[in-house]
Amino acid sequence: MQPFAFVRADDEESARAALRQGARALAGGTSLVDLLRLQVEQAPALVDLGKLPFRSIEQAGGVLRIGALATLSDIAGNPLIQHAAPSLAQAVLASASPQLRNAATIGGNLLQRTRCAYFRDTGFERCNKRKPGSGCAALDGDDRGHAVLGVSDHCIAAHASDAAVALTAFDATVRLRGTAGERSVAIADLLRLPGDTPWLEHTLAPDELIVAVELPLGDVLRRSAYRKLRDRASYAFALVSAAVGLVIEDGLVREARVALGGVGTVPWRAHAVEDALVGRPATQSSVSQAAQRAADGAVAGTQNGFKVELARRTVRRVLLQLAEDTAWK
Amino acid sequence: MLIDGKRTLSCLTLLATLEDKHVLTIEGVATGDQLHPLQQAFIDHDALQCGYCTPGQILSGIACIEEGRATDAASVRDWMSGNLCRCGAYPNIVAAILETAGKQ
Ligand SMILES: Cc1cc2nc3c(=O)[nH]c(=O)nc-3n(C[C@H](O)[C@H](O)[C@H](O)COP(=O)(O)OP(=O)(O)OC[C@H]3O[C@@H](n4cnc5c(N)ncnc54)[C@H](O)[C@@H]3O)c2cc1C
Ligand code: SF4
Repeated sequence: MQPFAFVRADDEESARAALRQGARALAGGTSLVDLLRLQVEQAPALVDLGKLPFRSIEQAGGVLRIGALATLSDIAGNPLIQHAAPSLAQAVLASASPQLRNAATIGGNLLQRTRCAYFRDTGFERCNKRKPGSGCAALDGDDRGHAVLGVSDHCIAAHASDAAVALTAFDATVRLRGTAGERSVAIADLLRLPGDTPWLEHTLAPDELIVAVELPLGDVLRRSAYRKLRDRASYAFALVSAAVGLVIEDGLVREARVALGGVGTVPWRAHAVEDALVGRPATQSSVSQAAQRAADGAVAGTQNGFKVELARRTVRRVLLQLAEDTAWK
Repeated sequence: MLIDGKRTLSCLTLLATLEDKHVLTIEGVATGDQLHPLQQAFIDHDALQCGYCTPGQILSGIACIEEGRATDAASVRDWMSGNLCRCGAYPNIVAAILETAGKQ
């Protein structure tokens, strides 16, 4: 690890002052410290956000507000979230391990970097994310874990977050505060597609902090579930995951939400499935038909083609599970 | 290690972030010469071979019991999944934790 300066922010303004001078924000450190140790990331200075008052989880009107420094354990164990946003509680509980969840924050989780092995190992020459313009070793290498949606000729790395999938399905917004003021952006506007600049991953200004994530409450979120498929039952990243919400009324689908993880370069909202469901009967055949649209537009490489069918089946499985739960009808 | 009672990875924690926090490592688990019950259970159940992962297993196991997750073997396996043992002592680790939790 390269030497770096360490600054503890006592308040938001001192954090921003450090950021303006080129420091990197440190929350739980489970992504950043890891990558500093691997020398994939470099930082002249770190500013520790740990003392900032961004950890509360509360309901305000129809919105669930989760402070950016709330840990994944805080979120998984929160009774309000378990009840009002089961897919989010399940997604964070399926993330990492208990000891990582105790440190990992939701703000850092959204900005965590990809698990692409070529990115994480500086021994590989080619990685556009790590070394702009150097090429992409995954394109003609091991792409089994890589994305099939939102990919470009410059990068096919999958976004690794579970929580972001649930947040994307249910229209969460991220509250940002910088010197220029405060603003809210959708997850889709926070996280960038790789395009031809895969090293640019988000739209945060250098001195902006995530202060909270806000999730609109409602029936479809309350009737939601998250399912994660992976190579082992626990402590592994998703091959495919799905956050799904379904509200059925008088046999017809009133509301549907579907987003996928493990398959996109960003958390992937499957609008085509939602459109195919809403207003139609919630029968096994109509649900199965709609789920066929889960990976519309997918572009597979050499080893990750299985994710296309796995995505459809995962969505189908969770939709049927939700439809069958009579308690929710 | 346990930070304010919560299990956390020492390899990803910067010491400078721990001012005013209570840190428990394997060195602080025994009371004098008196081993912690889970340490003794690891010996009794032969829950280690090379010993490399053992400090982490024991601290994580203490927290797992404390969190109320050591209810049965499946739950222990799930809530201990963040601690890898390359010697494969898992069955004995699970047994040691369950015994200490008083479930066996
Ligand atoms: C072994 C392992 C397994 C994992 N498994 C999973 C998994 O299965 N599912 C999953 O979703 N994740 C998984 N993770 C990733 C983990 O959840 C993330 O690393 C974690 O959520 C990041 O949060 P943090 O607080 O530690 O972020 P940090 O490492 O502190 O920060 C990450 C990035 O976000 C920036 N940042 C942090 N907070 C803010 C803020 N408030 N404002 C602005 N910028 C900020 C930092 O500057 C940095 O760039 C795993 C990680 C490891 C090491
Ligand atoms: S997929 Fe992206 S992160 Fe992985 S090697 Fe290619 S450019 Fe780098």
